[in-house]
Amino acid sequence: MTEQEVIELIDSSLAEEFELDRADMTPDANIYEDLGLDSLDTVDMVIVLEGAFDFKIREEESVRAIRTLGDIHQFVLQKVVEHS
Amino acid sequence: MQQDVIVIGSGLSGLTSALLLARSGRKVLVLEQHARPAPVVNGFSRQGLYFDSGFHYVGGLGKGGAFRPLFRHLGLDRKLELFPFAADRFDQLKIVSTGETYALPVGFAEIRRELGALFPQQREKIDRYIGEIETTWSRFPYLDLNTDIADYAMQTVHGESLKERLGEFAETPELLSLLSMHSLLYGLSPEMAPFTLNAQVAGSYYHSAHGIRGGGRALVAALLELLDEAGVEVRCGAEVTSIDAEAATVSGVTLADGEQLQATEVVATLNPALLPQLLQPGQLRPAYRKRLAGLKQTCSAYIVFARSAQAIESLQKSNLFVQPQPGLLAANPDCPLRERAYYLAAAGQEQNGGHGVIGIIPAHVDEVADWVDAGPQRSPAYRQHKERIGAELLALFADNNPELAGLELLELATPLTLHDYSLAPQGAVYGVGRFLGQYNPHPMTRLRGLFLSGQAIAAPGLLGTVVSSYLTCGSILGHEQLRGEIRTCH
Ligand SMILES: Cc1cc2nc3c(=O)[nH]c(=O)nc-3n(C[C@H](O)[C@H](O)[C@H](O)COP(=O)(O)OP(=O)(O)OC[C@H]3O[C@@H](n4cnc5c(N)ncnc54)[C@H](O)[C@@H]3O)c2cc1C
Repeated sequence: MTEQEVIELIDSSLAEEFELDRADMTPDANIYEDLGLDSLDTVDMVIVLEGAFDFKIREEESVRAIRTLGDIHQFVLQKVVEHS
Repeated sequence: MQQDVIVIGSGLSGLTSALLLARSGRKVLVLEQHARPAPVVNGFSRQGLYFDSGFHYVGGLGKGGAFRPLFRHLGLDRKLELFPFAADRFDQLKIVSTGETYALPVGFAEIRRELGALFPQQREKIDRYIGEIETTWSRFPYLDLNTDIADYAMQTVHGESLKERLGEFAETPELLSLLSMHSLLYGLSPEMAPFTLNAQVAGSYYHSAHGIRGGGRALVAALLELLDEAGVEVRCGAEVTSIDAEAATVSGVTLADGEQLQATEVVATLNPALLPQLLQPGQLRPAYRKRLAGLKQTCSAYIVFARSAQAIESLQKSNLFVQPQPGLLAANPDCPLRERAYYLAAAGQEQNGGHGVIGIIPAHVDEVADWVDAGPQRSPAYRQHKERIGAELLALFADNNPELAGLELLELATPLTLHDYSLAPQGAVYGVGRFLGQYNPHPMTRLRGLFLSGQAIAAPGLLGTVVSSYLTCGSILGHEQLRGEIRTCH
């Protein structure tokens, strides 16, 4: 998968599963303030990403540090590299 | 009556949650789909014998037990009389292939001594392992008032499995059997069971094991009395078919007959995999609804309720776990009946003079698949299936245990019976399991005013469901308030 394809899969999965508007989903969008997620959504976000990319996410610290959609892109891209 | 809170489900968790919320000054209404309250634990009588269904014994209520302050806080200590299980053998394990029977005594020191004597080469490891259980079991949230609730939940997702943990401590198959046998009480195999869950369940019984005089029926009666004193109404035959909301906030529920009831808070204690069916699209995110619907259920069971002509001495104040071969013990229905591990208990320890026997053996809903859609009026073929399974199980029990020769079958529960009692998908014995790697739901949801409680939120059993109710009501009332009240009950 190219970087662009990874980012597209992240954005389309999150848009569908969290009913987000693609127009709001810019890399610098804050997932809590701009996209309206809250701490209760974090687990679902992890599950959606695990399902989309078929890996397990155990790095709770890194997940807790995520603030923007761009952070999610970076986090997943790194996991994809580790798994290939 | 205008209520503030509606609790869906009158199981142990629903009744406990209703009590805690009513005591905070809220007007609470409990709705139960079944004709009787707490159908899972209420028990029943057949031919003069009382049989428990979903409650046999409880751990952690002995002197210094971490469950005691909660019991006192609820007021159950005033309403119920406990009796201790046999100090030298509260649980026994029979291994069929070797013919050996082992007994677990009550108390961590006693268990160390007994297992150390049986497996002297592994004495030092046994000491360390039992020591770990001793410190871990009571770290469960609300048993330990300082436990970080979020961290604890994560250990059951990402922590070690019971199998992995035992791998470091136990080599002998018989020792593995003894240290994993309580997996039958939460319905997960040792590969899938978080070590912390096993520690909490097994550890509570290692600490102390008690029965309740009058059994599950007395437990339910006590809770209903406390609820009555607190002004709570419990309505049976009231199936909730929809949770209603306005402007992203709960407004009430709708019943199967179309009646609408208003409330500002709803606590749903039903199997959480069923919750998405009660929600309208848009009420909660697709990601969350899919997670709930996909939660894995524990296996189901056949339950034998039988009469013995003689009193069964070995089951007096004791349970017997039976395993075909030594090694890790799993609640596994994916093999012929005779290869499954199972569990035997006396029915009505005190009332029936030792003549009632209950046997619980893992089963899969597929075994009764032909009758799933038939409704309560199931066909003669289903009755024949029940008779055949019942006869096979009585023969199995008798072969494994001479004292049980000549049992008379009074009733057999199947996965369909378990489904009728709780609506649990696939007749899951303990509902949604706490499988390692699975994120079980949190008491809070994103729909304002909607909360979840029940065995899937914390753990199965009286202890697990009571803790789930504290976790949920703590989310509503503030954990510090509830914890403060419990501190005064120590
Ligand atoms: C055979 C067996 C033996 C057990 N032995 C023990 C034991 O010895 N000790 C111990 O501590 N624990 C034991 N347990 C476990 C214990 O019984 C359970 O963990 C506990 O009862 C679960 O309580 P709950 O409130 O979470 O769920 P439930 O009791 O299932 O409560 C949920 C309630 O919701 C109702 N409901 C579902 N859908 C709806 C709807 N749409 N509208 C209205 N109502 C609805 C159901 O009918 C049900 O009554 C045993 C369980 C079984 C099955």
